[in-house]
Amino acid sequence: MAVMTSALAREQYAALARMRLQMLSNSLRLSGGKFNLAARIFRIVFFSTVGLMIAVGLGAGVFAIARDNQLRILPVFLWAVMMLWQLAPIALASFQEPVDLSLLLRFPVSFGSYVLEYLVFGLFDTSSILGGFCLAGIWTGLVLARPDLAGWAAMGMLLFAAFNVLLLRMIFAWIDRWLAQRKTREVLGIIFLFLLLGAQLMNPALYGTRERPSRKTIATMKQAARTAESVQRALPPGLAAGAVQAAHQGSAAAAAACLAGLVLYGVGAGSLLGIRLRAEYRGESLGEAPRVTAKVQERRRVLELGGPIGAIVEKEFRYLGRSGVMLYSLLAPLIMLFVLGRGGQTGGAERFALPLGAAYGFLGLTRLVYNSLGGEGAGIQLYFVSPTPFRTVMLAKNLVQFMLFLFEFALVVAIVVWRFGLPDRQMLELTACWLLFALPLQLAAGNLLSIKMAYRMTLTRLSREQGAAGNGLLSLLIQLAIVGTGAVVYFCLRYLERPGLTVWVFLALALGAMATWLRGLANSDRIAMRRRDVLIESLAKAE
Amino acid sequence: MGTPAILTRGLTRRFGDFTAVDDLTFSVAPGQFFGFLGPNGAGKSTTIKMLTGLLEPTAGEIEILGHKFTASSFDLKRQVGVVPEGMALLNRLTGSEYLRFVGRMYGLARETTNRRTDELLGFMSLANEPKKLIADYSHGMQKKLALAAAVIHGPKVLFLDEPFEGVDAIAAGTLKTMLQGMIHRGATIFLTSHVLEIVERLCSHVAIIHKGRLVANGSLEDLRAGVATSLGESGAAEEKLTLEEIFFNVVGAGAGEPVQELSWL
Repeated sequence: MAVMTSALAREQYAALARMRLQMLSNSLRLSGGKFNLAARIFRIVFFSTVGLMIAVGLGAGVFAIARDNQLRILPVFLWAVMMLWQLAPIALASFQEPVDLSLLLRFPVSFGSYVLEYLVFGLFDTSSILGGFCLAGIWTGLVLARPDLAGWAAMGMLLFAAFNVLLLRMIFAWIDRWLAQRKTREVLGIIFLFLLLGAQLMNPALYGTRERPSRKTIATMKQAARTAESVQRALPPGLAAGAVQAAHQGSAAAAAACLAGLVLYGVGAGSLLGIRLRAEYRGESLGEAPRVTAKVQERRRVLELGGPIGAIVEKEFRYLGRSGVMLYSLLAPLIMLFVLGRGGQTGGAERFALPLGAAYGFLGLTRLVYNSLGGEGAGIQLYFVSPTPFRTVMLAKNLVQFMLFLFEFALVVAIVVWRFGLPDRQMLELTACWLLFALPLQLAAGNLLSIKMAYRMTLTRLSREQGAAGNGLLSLLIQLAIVGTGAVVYFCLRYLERPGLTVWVFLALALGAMATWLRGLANSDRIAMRRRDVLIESLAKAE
Repeated sequence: MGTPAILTRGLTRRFGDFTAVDDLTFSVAPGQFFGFLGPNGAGKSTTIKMLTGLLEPTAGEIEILGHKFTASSFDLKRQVGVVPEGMALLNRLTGSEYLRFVGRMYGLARETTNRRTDELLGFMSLANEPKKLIADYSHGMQKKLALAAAVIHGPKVLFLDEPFEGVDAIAAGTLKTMLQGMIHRGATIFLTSHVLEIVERLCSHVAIIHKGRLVANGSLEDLRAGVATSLGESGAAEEKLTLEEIFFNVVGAGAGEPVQELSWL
């Protein structure tokens, strides 16, 4: 603590404050500086006004509940403040001016001073100002209604504010850390995407059918709400409110215990922040080099297939496992199927759930099948310089796609059975025979488009690359045509009262599709060789 | 002279109206370290792409080790190693995964591939970061890995497109040691590079391409003698001619001309 208040530390704080002021005044001399200052002033005035209005509203609400002895509602206000405090930075990110304090590390700054400066800068961000206004409003409302609670409320609000500052700074410090490296950045991105998709699951979870929630569902929800209420009491907003409630009931010990709980949460958040800042202070390297540098023998094998086919299959699975975006693309249709597929429908539409689900499941494989060379980048050249025929490359890729489709289809069957019940035998047979026709045709068309309309895929981003639109549109049209053919055959024969023939027609089409796939595979050498310079140009050049 | 390791006859590549490589005829003897030079856009990479099956010639023939070479010459490709422009790396694999992949693509047995992978990674000083993806490698590390991949199957002919570009002195030293070792064991190396000092130190024979046409071809001594004659020099002056001077003289750019200064800069 002494080093944080030493003469040198005080000089440093003063120098920092002076530096910020100088930067502010110097910025006026820059082109557009005055406009920037005006924008900054507008921002401060705008958010202060918003904060004040929210604070007045919260204060009035708290005044009303305190006057009516309804302080059990107080946690609701504090939860709202915490949400605003922690989530506002996401919405206001573009208004924030990040300050990189790591530039201070080249000076003789103690760790304590570094932490203090980090926290002080955090006090002046928009969300802290908004949150501070809100807590001040709540405190004012409380004190106006119950002046005797002024002291306890002040301690509760101050500790709650300190916890929020620490929590926010801690979250930001760790997110900064994760975003600093490619691998963790990708993981974070995928978690975010799956959270978004996961949020969609609320629909089937709460409303399994179109009917109104049953009494049982309502009872379950009420029970969940009671559980949540008891849990929240042990969380910071509940503890801050608990301190005020206990003081109101004259139990100083309980109020003190609640405040102690808040302090513990603050210490927890502060410790996690401290771990991060300590690493920064020590000058951690956020380079992409792995931590372990000892020689490790890698002998893990995905599959024990030999030769070039095994090598490509193994490589494809490694690529898939390392591309969160591809995994997301693979699973997203299944999640949507789960979300949108509503069980318990009447009218016979659920009868087609399996073939429609299978067709929908194909969507997850679209980019993998129809642009199977897109992820190779400059590595595409290897296929042309190595003594492996291109048809072997495509065959290996088709093997992987087939395995992935089987995996997707198994999940589709599971979802369909769970949401709609076991499909009837006739539909199972029809779907199986249609797939025998659809799958080889998809692979054949995919191979052709992969060579003729390849575009570079960035395996770490969801963004569409140049050339993706044409390939994407055509692949969707082909998939629609394949589904449409199945539907036309089925409905025509049903109309002609010969539904039993559908299976045989599908089997005949399957033979044709298989022949097409084999022929396409045999021709892939020739087509790829003819187009190799275009392929290399489009896949390798942009890297 | 026996069968050349590399032979081209009338090799031509046109892109529409533009002729990138025009009627190229030359040969490289077995065991030769052959430098293929030229200014930017002269046709070096286009030539090397045609020689390795990455680009189809518009006209002409290629023979490797005495056999006609086309993109479908799979048996010949087993004898050839390539570090193409862009290096042909698979960025989402680790170094060892990539080498094992390449070994199997060339039909090596798994045990052989594993053993050579470990040896190559050790030799190239790439073994210490086994979990690092190639995407995260430095440029020099990528070059070393690309070279390791080009030689894992023990090729008799090696094509290298700018192997020293962006490589530091230490890594360049490792690469040079390896390439010279291969030459001593009888391999043929065909190399393009902008670093003339390296070419001068490594290569016994040099060809210079300019605007798609071969403008010089021969041993360094022959080229020196030719240039010295054209400059009217002899004896000691001829011996002092550097490859850079030969290059400027043959390509006809800059040699002896004062460099114009930018007065405003």
